[in-house]
Amino acid sequence: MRRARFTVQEVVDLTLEFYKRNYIEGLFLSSGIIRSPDYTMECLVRVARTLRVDHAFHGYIHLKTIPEASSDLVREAGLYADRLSINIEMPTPESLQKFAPEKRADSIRDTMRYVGAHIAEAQADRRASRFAPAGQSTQLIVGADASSDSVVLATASDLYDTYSLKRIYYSAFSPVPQASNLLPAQPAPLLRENRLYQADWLLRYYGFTATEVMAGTANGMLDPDIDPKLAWALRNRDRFPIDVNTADRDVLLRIPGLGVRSADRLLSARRHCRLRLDDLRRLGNSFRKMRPFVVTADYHPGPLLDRSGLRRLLAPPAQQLDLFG
Amino acid sequence: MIYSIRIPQPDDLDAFRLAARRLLAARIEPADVVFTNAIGGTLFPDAPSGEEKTTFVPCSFVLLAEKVACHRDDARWPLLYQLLWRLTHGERTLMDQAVDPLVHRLRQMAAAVRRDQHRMTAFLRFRVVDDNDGSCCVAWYEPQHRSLRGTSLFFINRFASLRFSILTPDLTLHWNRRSATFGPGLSRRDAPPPDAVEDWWKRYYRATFNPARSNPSLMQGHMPKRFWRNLPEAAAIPDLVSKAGGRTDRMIRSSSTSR
Repeated sequence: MRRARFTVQEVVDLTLEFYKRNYIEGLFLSSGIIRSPDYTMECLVRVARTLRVDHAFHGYIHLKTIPEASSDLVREAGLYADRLSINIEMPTPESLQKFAPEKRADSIRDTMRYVGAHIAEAQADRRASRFAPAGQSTQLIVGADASSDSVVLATASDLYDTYSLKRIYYSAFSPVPQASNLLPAQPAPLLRENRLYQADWLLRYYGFTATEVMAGTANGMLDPDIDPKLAWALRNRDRFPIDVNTADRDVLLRIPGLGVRSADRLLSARRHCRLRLDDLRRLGNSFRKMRPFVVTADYHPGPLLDRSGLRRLLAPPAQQLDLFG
Repeated sequence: MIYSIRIPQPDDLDAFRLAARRLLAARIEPADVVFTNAIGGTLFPDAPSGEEKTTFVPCSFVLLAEKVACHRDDARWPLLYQLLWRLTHGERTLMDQAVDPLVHRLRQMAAAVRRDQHRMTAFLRFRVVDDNDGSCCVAWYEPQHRSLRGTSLFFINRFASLRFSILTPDLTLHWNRRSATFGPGLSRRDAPPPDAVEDWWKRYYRATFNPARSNPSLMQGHMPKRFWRNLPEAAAIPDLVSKAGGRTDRMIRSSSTSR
């Protein structure tokens, strides 16, 4: 595949001119390997250093680390970048070995550990030099190999726990011209990517474990038609309905259609009055999803929750799912 | 008896605050007040000017009012006065009750302004113009609400070392690296012409557009069409979107023939 290359000075100049006109709020700095991992990483660090030191650039810099580069270069990158990322690329080490034999899962994880330790150190000690204050993230390609959503989420959950990542980016595989024969010719649906992000949110903000989100799904795949929280609730109907006037926060967060902010507003509102069904209409945008799962001062869903057609009732009409418009 | 209150500047929260203090001191109920921005704009007498009473309201009211004041809906002042009245007449915890219809409506107005201010920080584009004192960055922008005052500190902090002007139909902001001045609104005719770098930016935008990820409805959710006419890169969007399907198909075909 043919690739283009910018010099360090070109990237610096373009960034400054674009930033000055408010086209961009920062720089996502990434490169394919040129000559060697260290040479490439050196160029990336030089861009960040020139911007920060020579031009007092205050914009955001996200620098995609070359995992095989020497740790001194990674350390220097942390001085100038707001966020560092090291792409894990594939959900399993076996897939990485198969699709990107030049990359090594253990060196990726070593770099993540190294970066994580420096971030923690800089946060713990205010006198320590600045190191990637916006944390580290990673990217995972979905749909290039045969890994199921269960495998992807288990990997994600492990990465969050082990390296305290800020974000995992799930990227639906899309074919490129003259690609490797091993890669599929069809793009992964963007909808799959979207459902994985929703499930990822459940892990990070709603107190779900990956096992809970995936238990009972077909073939270890998230339901494409409805969001993972609604799907979980439909599979765990014995936990509902939930009384919004008495339930604890962690229980409220399990109600489909009720987000973190709405749940907190609900908690502060119910200190002053008993909540009624009409009050819930004003809390979020997903009243329809919430309704079969809640009890309020004036409402009980009754047998609605037991209806076998509930899923169909709540699933959006099919045309809304067409993300390709 | 109905009283008339004049707030000359449409987003002047201080004028509203002074008026509201007088109204509360005189115990004038929300239903008996009309807000206007014109001299002699209503048939009603001015509110009695008497003592001003200091009224304590929650901090969250002030934060809400700062946003609501920039909304274009004429109902903003009467609604804010209604809320103030209820906060000071037995409903001290009303701000916590997001489910109350009045609080809900005002919160939605504040959220609309916050969203518009955020969009302004993202969609405003400067053009470099040479003048007698060197070069200056000038932007023409049409916010949905009166969003310039609320975003001025953002731009001053980000571009402190540049000379810049932001022109909107409501208000203009000029920054000379040391101090800021506001002036009256201008018209689209005063917008600066494109500069040389704009063409690089348009080419960059076209080159980084990934046809396999094209999602027009999501894109319009993030960048509504009414902002397109002042975004240089947006001119390319219809063409990029309409060709996305064909380009993706060709990529898929060429990747399967190469195997």
